[in-house]
Amino acid sequence: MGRLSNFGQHLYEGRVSFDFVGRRRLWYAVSALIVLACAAGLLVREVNLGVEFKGGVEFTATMEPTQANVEVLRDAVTDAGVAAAGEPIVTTSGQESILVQTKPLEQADATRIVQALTQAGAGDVSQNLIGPSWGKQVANKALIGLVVFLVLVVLFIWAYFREWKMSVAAIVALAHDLLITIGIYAWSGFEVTPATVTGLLTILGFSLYDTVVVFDKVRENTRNFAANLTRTFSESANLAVNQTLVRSINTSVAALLPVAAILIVSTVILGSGPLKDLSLALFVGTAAGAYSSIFIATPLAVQLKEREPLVRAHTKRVLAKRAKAAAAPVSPVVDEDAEPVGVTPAARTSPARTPTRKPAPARAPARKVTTSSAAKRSQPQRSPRSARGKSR
Amino acid sequence: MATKASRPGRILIVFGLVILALYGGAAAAGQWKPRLGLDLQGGTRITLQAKDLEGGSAPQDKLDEAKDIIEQRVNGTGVSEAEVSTQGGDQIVVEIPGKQRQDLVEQVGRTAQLRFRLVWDSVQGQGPGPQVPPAPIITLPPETTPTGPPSGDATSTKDSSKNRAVSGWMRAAKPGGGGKPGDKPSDKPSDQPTDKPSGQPSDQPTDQPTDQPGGSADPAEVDWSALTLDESIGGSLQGTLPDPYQPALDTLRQQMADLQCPASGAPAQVEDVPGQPLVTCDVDGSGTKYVLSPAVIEGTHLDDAQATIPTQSIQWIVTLSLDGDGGDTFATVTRELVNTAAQFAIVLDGQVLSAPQVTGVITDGNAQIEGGFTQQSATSLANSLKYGALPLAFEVNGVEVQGPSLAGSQLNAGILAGVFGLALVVAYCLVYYRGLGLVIVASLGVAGAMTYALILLLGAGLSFTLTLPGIAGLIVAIGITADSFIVFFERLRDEVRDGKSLRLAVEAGWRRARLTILAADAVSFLAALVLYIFAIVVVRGFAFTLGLITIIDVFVVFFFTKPLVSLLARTQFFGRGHKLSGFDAKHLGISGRPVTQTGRRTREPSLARTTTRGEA
Repeated sequence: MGRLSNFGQHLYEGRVSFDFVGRRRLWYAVSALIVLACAAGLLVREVNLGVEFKGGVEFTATMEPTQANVEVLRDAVTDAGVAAAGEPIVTTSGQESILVQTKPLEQADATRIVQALTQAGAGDVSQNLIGPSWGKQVANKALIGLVVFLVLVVLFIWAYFREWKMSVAAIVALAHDLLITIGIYAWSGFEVTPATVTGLLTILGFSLYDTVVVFDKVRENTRNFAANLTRTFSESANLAVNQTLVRSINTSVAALLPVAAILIVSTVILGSGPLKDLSLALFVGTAAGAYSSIFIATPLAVQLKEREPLVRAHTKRVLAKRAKAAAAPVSPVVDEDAEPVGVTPAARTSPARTPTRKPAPARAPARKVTTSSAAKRSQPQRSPRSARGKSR
Repeated sequence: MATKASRPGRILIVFGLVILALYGGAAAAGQWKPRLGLDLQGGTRITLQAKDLEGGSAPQDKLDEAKDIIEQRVNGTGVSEAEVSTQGGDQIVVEIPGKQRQDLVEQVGRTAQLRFRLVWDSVQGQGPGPQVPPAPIITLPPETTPTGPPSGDATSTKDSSKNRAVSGWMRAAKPGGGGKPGDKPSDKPSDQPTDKPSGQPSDQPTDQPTDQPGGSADPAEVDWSALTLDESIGGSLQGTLPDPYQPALDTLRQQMADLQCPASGAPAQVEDVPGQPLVTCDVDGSGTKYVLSPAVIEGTHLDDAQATIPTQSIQWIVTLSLDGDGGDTFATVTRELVNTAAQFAIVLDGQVLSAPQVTGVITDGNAQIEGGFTQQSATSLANSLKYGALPLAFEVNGVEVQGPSLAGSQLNAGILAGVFGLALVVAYCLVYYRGLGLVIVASLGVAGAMTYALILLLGAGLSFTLTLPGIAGLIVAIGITADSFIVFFERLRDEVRDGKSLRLAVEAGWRRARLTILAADAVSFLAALVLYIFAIVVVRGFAFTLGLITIIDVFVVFFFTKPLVSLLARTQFFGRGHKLSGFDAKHLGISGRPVTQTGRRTREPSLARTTTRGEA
């Protein structure tokens, strides 16, 4: 843990820095690849819709889930004298039940099957009969809910951050999470039920939670970016992402742990059911959400922001200043850093080796940093402490 | 600092009092266990969907009226605690906790539109299987009630709507005028797709336009309101109608010949318009088909309906009593039809319940439906009729029956998942935040206590029930709540890293974290709200608990966690940065200075040797 906290400390000071913003093309490409794979999944394989969407009857019989019992129940349904129930799907589910799915039935017929199942030895039989129009309504409602929520989110983020660019970035990140989740459902063939859809809508909230936390810090770091000539806008934003990285990891882990608990317990004990469907969607979506707020939302917001003349001019000035400083003293690092991306890849493999914070030769001339590792030795410190970490 | 000194403690005390008050409220309401939803205690949920709506949604007043009628029907069956609610503008949900009552599906959902019509023509069908239509038996004395199939018959006991005859000093007669048994389409009624007949009787193709307004061969175009009761009775007696109607009657006969009756148990697939003639089937599944006159007596003239066993009988019957107008018309009809082969029909929701011949004039407006009823089916029908017809037609959208053992294991799984999830989060927080983790644990505990109290109160006040998705929402919310604490603590650590002393860092970190927490919680709440509005009832519990906890989270962070951390920062253990407190310099990743001191080199030159930070 100590190492992890050091890591957090280094991230905070910018000594260790992952270049989330600068290498956005890489992250975009990675995400594009994943999203494409997911979209392909949607095209190639149909999403496995649950009985709630198709209409039909699902019986849950309390019975030891052995293969023999599955056959017993299958025969019982077939012999129940209900023609419409022919070819039922019988599967084991969890530790103590067997699931029987049939086509849509009238209640009278469903009752007959319940009786047949009971006679065949099932303990007690639960029944879920879904009319054919039900699924359409569920789907419609989910769609309306999605649209309403997206509109509200755009409005909220716009009102909170006063910045449409951040709204756009947040929405793109949301769409990214949704697509990945749906794609994973398509590829894996997990059943999609109303609970899944609920989970999907909840993901929107989760994913946004992360994004809000990160954006909050980005905004704080870039509030007076124009007055700070040591960092470009995108570097300030990147520092923000790094500074919130530990927080993002922690919040994501804390959010994922309970979801994982539900997923595991419900899958082991109950087999399929709303609990499993909900938690599975949440699990996939939350993981994707944690990824997207760091790798997609912030870089995209920065990219949009960088088109502003003000930001562009500022970036130019910072780079010019940096180049000037580089020209005067001897400093290979600065040369390397003249590029706006600003972070040496080496920083990612060997933390603290290279100063990842931009050499800011305002007071101290840039110079090569001695390797100090975790030895708590002298580190380059170019701006006064009071001006660090908060660019107010 | 001194003036602030007492504040955190006071806030904590007030907060504790609030929680006590919540529990006091729950105690006052006498509610100590949360009300469990159907999926956790077993029960039945029937979802009814209004159909044939114009414009896609039902008028609220009609839906409410239907809800009230359905509520009366359910209560009429002796089921207590049932809850009937409307949902989404066009649905009615009946929830019966603790009982498996799929048998109620038929009676709560049936429109119960009862009408008396005259039989203009009929074709006798052959039953699809075991049951035999009740032979035309004189039902004058109740002892000789048509028995129908014995009650041991597998199908008749289950199907409440079979083999009925009406008597009220009347003769029940199934084989109607002109019909021969075994007419073509009735040979295998069960094989027919049930939706086929629906288009035929009502949605007439207008392929035979005629000039005469009254003489159209298309029944849908004929103005039937001009047809008098006497003319209609004439149609029943002689099988012919006055000239302008005769072509339409012929068309109706043709339609009847084409009509294919669904197997028993299938719902009526005909549109029952009171002012129009009706081509339909007998409800018993025998395949008997009828051409019926426009309604002569509407169900609104029904005063009462009762299920009884007449004295000296063992058969259940449903007695009907008509009001004055209805009784008068009934008297006229029975007077005209008495002792002829002509029949009238009692039509329920477009299907013929029975079509008796008349053996005596009935002037007191009392009639009865009998034949093949079990106690259950007779009570069910009487119950449906008694509380009136629903103002809207409904179809069964979903029937969920949860057995007690499945419900039990769902509850156990929910609790287990909760404990497991909580333990994981607590373990993670303790390992990562050490002493501060205890603050998280305490905060989670307080949030949990508050949530439980609120669930109790909401259960008592708004009859909120805890469902499995609701439990899932609670568990998921553990993460959300912990997230708020993490945001706060990480901020706090940032401030310490920035060189502030712990005490200062608590205040500064809080100032910055609270806005983030509020924004993030607002988003969560927004999501929960949208989810609540747009989710189907089944998963609404999830959205509800999620939203509830988001609000609780804000309260806990503001009025418990923050004051607690402020207090703890003053203690020796935390404020001095004890190794296990989570605040020790090493754990925070700073070194060389105790957390009690500020790390600003400029102010405290003596710290210049703290090499990590003090770089010239």
